[in-house]
Amino acid sequence: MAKTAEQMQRDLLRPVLDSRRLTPALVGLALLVLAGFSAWMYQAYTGIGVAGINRPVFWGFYITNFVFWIGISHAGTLISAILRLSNATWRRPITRCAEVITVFALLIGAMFPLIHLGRPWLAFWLAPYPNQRGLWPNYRSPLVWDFFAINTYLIGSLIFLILPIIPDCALLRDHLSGWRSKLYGMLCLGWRGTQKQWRQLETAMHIMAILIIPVAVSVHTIVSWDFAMTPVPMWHSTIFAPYFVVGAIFSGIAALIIAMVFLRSSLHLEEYLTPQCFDNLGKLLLVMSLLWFYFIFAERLTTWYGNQTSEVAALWLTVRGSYRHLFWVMVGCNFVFPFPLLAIKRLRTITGTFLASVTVVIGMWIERYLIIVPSLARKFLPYAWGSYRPTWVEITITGATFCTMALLYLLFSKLVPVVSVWELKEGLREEVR
Amino acid sequence: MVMNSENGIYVLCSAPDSTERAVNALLSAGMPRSKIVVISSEPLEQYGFAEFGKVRMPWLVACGAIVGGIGGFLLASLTQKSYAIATGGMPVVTLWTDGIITYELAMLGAILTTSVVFLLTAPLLHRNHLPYDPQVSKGKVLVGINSVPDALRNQITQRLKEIGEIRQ
Repeated sequence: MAKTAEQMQRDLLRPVLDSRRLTPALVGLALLVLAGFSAWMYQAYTGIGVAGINRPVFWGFYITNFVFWIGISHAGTLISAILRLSNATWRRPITRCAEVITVFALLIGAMFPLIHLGRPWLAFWLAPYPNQRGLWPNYRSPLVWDFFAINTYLIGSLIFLILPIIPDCALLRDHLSGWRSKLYGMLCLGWRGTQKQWRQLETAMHIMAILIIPVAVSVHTIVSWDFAMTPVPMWHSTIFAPYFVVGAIFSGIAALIIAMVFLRSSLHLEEYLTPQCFDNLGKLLLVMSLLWFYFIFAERLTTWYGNQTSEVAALWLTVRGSYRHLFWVMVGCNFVFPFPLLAIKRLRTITGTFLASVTVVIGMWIERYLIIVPSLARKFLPYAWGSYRPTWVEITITGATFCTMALLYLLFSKLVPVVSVWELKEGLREEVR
Repeated sequence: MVMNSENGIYVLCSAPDSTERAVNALLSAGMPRSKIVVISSEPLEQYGFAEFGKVRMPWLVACGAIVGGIGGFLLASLTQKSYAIATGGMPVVTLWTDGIITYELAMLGAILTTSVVFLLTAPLLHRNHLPYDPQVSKGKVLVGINSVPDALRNQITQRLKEIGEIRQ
């Protein structure tokens, strides 16, 4: 039997109104995040030498994580914006889950340049401001483009997330009492729900959806240019920008599916995050898996065909050299394993899409690692060759970032309904009409 | 249920159909459309009482993008001129790379303008003395007018009471 709007509202507000159930998970995650933070502080106190990065592999786990998390951030806002613009009705339960991923993944990703700096207290040197040193950021540097692109995307994604939360905060204001009611009263900025306000909100969301798509594409394009603008073997390639964007959307959709599975079971949202949502996202993941395979094949084929010594050295290092195990695990995780799970309708269940997504996230992390490390380890002449082995500090910080994501997500789900109440009610009314 | 505020009157409707009747009742009592307030916990844009005025937001956003873009280009190019580095005869102001900064700041300008225009035109963040009832959060739709002329007060109250009865 179809739910009424009132039942729907009660179900979706329940995780916020009854917020005690997730406390043990929150405490556990907070401890793991603390472990990662301690490792970072140890590095800041002792020096960047405690990390495994060295000459010539100056970029290791931290930059891998940076690229990976910026990629994950593409899930949300981009998918949400595309589905909003195409007015896909099945988007309603998933848009907020997706938008939250973007904001948190960007925050986590943006941390890594600071961690990688070694002396994070000098991070403000990245910002363009007049100073006595006479040093301004070099606008020809892709790292400065990163600064502008990521901040624009972060601000845009934050606004894209917050705007549709305002009416739900007004709902919470009326359903809670005491200080919580006052808090949500402030957060909803005096929202009443006049038809003028609804119209302005819908217009603003529509404009934001149009704006955020090119911004999202530009962000990962610019992240790819961090590599592609450098004459390093296997990096200096025109294919890198679309290859990175595709990889980002691919890993982002996988992360979204994983988050939805956990939300579905932990917050009992089975009737809202339906198998239909997973089926549709599974199809999208399948398309991205095929696109990813196309890009990696095109990239490697072009390098092999060009047969330039330094390029081929880096290519064989990954395909049949010391990184071959990681390479073939990556191909398995990103294509061989998820392909049947997503292509065969009978297997494209919630469990099937979840398993495929887990392998894709692992595979995409490995892909980022394989883009960065082998190319630096095999730069041109053999005297400049080297190797990289991560230390416990880097591994701990990397593990902690996944816990940070889970912690932030859980905290968010305790503060705001993870499924947009008003959008679902609107959808229900449209169905009735 | 009809409520009287200091100067206004409003009625809580249980469905958009009765909301439509309440709006029509107010219109037929001589109240201008611009004075009638309809408050709901979800958008009701498919109904006749929804707002259908001109929306200026896209134009303002375009202006925001232009301002942001010009600001971005000036930031990059003026910095490059002020702190010129030796480029070996190559241009000091590099249009290709400055284009990236220009683009990003144009988008940022558009994004910030969207949110500011939304806050100002919705309008949020200021006390607008609109009628409100927490029942709206439970699915009711509130229809009313902020200030009722004394001559029409009895007539409007009577008509809205009729809507209330229909709802029941």
